[in-house]
Amino acid sequence: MIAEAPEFGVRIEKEQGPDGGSRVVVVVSGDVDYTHVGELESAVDHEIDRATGPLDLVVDLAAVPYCDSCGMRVLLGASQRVDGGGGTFVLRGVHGQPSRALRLTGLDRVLGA
Amino acid sequence: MLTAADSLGHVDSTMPAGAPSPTPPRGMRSLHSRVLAGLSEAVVVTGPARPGGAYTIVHAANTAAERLLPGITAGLAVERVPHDAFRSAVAQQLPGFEAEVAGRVLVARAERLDDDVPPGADLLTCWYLRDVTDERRGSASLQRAQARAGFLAESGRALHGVLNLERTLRTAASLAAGFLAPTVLVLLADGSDAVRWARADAGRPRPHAGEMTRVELRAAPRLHEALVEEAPVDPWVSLELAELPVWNERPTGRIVVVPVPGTVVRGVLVLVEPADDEDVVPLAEEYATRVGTALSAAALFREQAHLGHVLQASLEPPPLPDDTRGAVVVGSAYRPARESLRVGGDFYEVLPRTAVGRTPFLLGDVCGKGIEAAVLSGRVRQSLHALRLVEQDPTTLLGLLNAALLDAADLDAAVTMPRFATMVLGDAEPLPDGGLRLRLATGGHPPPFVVRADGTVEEVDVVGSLVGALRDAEFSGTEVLLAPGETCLIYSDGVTEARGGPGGRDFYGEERLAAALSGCAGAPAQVVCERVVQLLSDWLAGRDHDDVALLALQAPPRPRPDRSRPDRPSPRPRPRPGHPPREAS
Repeated sequence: MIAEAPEFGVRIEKEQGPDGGSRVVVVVSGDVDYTHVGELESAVDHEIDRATGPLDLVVDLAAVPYCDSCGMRVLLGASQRVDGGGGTFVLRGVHGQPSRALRLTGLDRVLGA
Repeated sequence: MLTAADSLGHVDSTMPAGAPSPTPPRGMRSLHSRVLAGLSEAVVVTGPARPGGAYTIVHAANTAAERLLPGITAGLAVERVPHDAFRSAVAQQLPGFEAEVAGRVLVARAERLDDDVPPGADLLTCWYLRDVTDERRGSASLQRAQARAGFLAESGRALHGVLNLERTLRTAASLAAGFLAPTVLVLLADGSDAVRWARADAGRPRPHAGEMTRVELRAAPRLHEALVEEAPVDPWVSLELAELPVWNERPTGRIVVVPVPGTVVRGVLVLVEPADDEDVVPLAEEYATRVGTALSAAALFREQAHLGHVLQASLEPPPLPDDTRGAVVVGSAYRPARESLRVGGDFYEVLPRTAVGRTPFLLGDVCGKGIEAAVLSGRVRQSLHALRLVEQDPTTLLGLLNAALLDAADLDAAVTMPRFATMVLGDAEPLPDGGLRLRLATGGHPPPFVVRADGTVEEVDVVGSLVGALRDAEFSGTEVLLAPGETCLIYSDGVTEARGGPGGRDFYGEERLAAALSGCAGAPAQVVCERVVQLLSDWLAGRDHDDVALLALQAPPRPRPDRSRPDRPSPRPRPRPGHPPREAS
């Protein structure tokens, strides 16, 4: 039996942060690789661009089984932009290969995973 | 039965059935001649002069018929009608005929008025004539227009598939030879010092091609101007052209010169003795536009292919040094991702032994693909080459490299996204006991594996942040001692993240890699790499994968005194049942 690759998708949600403020959650599903990283990048960039003040951004990787170096680069770029604007960037639901890759690269401490 | 009178819509009850009526009653005759006269179509009726007679006359001919066949008139014997085609068509009872009369093209159709006529009865034949001169002329010009459109479409297809400058030039000459003119010459300036040309002669199988230097073109200053500047084609150019050493026979007839426009290259299209047709020049100009587009595309493609080739060559792992003076045995494997247009992001190198007796090595992976990845991996390698001149400690080197890459990125206005690399670097130093001491540092890269002599596989305990992205990056180093025959394998994540297996979606993973390596204990470094690639390719079963790079460093095995051929180690790794547990993870 050959399993199909789960379809890639990016969904934007809003939720209440712990401090009562609203934060944007980017829910990603599927492999974040060379083919799909552009979708993630434009979704995240769009949220950062349209934020009027400091943005609290959460990227949810609970449904992401694989993230390559292109994906890490987008996450790192997003976190640097959000931090630069005085906001916060948090990764959530990281497990499996992405978790190991983030640990290996030392990005886990930078990206707040 | 139908008679001449019937055919006009009257039934003449006085006529005997089956008999032709060469002379209808007077009133009737005047009626049908009046009806005929009013028709715009030319009509002629022929038939025997009297029933059963062999003598055929024209029974009726209307005004339109008299205009098309001057001299024809009712009552005239057919043999005296002054038109050969008409006479022979009547005599042979042809179904129709076509003739040119006084510069007009006529088409005639015969209609035998034979319904219900008993066999053998004498018949009238009605000839309907049409002047098709204008129609034919129109369709001839339509055909020419279609031929031109077909020529342009066909040449567009033929030219655009080529993408090779010389071949496009030859194709441009061949396609036009015989259509635009018997001999066609195309000259092309592509910014280089030479002007290329191709000439095709209709009926000759192969076009001729060659090059002229600018010096040779001094004799043709106007042509030179038209080729290298935006100068319009001067009428004198055709005189200069006739003198160029590009002809089989020096042209003496009319020469038409049309510029070949192009964004990258410029040229001229030269037609020798084209048909004396007003359409030739506009058609040649249209053709020249297509030629110019195709030549520019070919020129661009040539540049790009050259760029790609240079880039690819610069990224391909350099050959490992042949001579490490027996200090280190190295093996390597590189399998770029299948998408050939994406230049890969993995790189590795082993440098010649330094003055202090250490052999530096490196295996890395830059984020991204294509040109960007190529530039970054070039920058990483060159920075390291320079930094190694002043610093040899791997951990310190990584820190310096990190700072150098970040500084370079700060200077680079085009960089909006972080660029980084992961890598393992270090050097190897032979020990007096025949072993090898490796100094290793990693920046965000999967830790290497060590394959011990007894088949134990260890993951080297070393971590560090990725390189070139973070100012506060932390790197650490470690030392690994290899006994003779033991191997350290550095690999890129394309190995462990290769997806395949029975379900097609499982990662190859560190566990399987370690298991594979434990079966390779004692195998030569190159064999270890090839074995891993082989197992990986089984795992992938033809699926796509990312770049895969492997670099194996091995302490030279001890020669075995009891073997008859001590220098030849076993080419196959020893298979092992299961694999011993890894010591570190």
